[in-house]
Amino acid sequence: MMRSLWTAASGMNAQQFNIDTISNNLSNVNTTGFKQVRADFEDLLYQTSRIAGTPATEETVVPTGIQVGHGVKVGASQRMFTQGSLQNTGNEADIAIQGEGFFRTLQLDGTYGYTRDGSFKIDSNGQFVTSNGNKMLPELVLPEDFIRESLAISQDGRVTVKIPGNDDPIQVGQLQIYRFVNPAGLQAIGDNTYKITNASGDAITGTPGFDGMGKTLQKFIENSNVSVVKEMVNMIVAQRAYELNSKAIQTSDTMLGIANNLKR
Amino acid sequence: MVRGIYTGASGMQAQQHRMDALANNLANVDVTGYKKDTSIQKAFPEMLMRRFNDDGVHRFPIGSVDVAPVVGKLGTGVEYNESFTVFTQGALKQTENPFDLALESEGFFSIQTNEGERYTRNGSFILGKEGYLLTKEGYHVLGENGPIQIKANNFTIDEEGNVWQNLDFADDPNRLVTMDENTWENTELVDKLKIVGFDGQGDRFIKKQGTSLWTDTTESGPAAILNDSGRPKVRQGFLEGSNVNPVREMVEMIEVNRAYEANQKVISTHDSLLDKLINNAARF
Repeated sequence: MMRSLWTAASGMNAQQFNIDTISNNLSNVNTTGFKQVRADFEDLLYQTSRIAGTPATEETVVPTGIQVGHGVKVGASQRMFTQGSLQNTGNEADIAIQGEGFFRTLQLDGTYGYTRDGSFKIDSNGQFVTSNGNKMLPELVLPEDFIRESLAISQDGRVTVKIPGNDDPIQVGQLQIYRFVNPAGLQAIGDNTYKITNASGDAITGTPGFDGMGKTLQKFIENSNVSVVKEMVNMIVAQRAYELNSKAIQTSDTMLGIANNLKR
Repeated sequence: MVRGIYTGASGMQAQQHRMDALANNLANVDVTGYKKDTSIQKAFPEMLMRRFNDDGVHRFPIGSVDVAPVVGKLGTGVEYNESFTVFTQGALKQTENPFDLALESEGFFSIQTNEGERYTRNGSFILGKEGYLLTKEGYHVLGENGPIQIKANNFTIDEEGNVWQNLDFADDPNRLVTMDENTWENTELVDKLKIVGFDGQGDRFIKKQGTSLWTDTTESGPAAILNDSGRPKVRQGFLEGSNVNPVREMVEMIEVNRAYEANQKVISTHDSLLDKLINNAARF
């Protein structure tokens, strides 16, 4: 059948993927620490029906070939790790990373997860955990009967609290920040968490605020970096591209109809 | 059988090729650095029509040695001749991603693939875990001295394609950098992006390979590094959109559709003429 039907169909498929990506970005517009994803496209294989340089006569060769493309495919869905805006929450256990890096959490299956969602909770054991109850690493355990209002986290990740009967704050832990050479290679596993892949490289550990690591800001959370305007514009572009490709299918179909009408 | 039927069919086929090219352009309307194809047709050589049989007597027109008089010329249709890539500039769109590069005016990035060097205008690159600048397929982006190794936030690429890095943080691979701490006082030239072109009309003869890559051919000649005035500007943080113009493609699609229909009419007209001839004229 006509090649253009399938070519145009690949275009519609690609735009559908584009819309899937855009709608996921938009639905996570309020997700703490969410990073926007961009769909990147590439052209598909070309069918060469005549190779350039084929002899045309005894003395001459054809200067250009005949190639026809077969449409488009999704090349990558790339995550953009730009900084999201910071929002003051006033909650002692909220920590935002200003700059680059991730917190490390212990997943239920014992592997490490990495997240920029710093809306931590303090569980009944006085331990810092994520909203899902996964422990933050390195483990941070607050002493019993600590005064909640006195919990302080410095920009370089030192955690101090006061306990009743003692005016001096005591240091209970030190936060670590983890970075990757290629954060775009991390695999998102949902729950605002990423996992290491072969492409991301191993985690590089550091103290917040030093050696290129982001600073920790207490009582702040990081909003998603989704720009609603950009996504809306992308959505319009995707919709129109989808429409264009559907028109190509319609035209191919009409042409096939015309061909069918040859024989009456 | 009657020539016109085949002529009409060749017209329909040619329009179908055009439609294939159009559909591919429309499918790639959103592809970074895509350049649109147009299909070019040529007429079959016209041939002279002669009278076969002239009362059995050869008449020689004055000055001619033809055995039978010429009655006129006849074209016998159209053939698909060439798929031609239009290398006009696509629109630049800002992405704010430092690994996104766009070329302004003609030229290509060089990519080291398993099959040899390939060329692309899709500058949507990524930093691999070893710190090499890669394409989405994992191929190395080439500088004039080989693959380019850099660190996130520690590099900048100027309009001429020079890759600069901050020497303060360059030595330790485990020492990552933030944008804030860069002072750019102690900068070093890492490499220059290998931006190439093809002599003369060479662009016309390079071949699309898919996944945004082009290969050189014997006709295009080998790629040469572009220097000075012929060098396109490199824009960091931008991507080049495709140069497909939806308006043109839509109009052309209407044209294709109608031309196809017209050719079909040619065939069906010929067919009904034959019908008359076979079933009516020679009725016994």
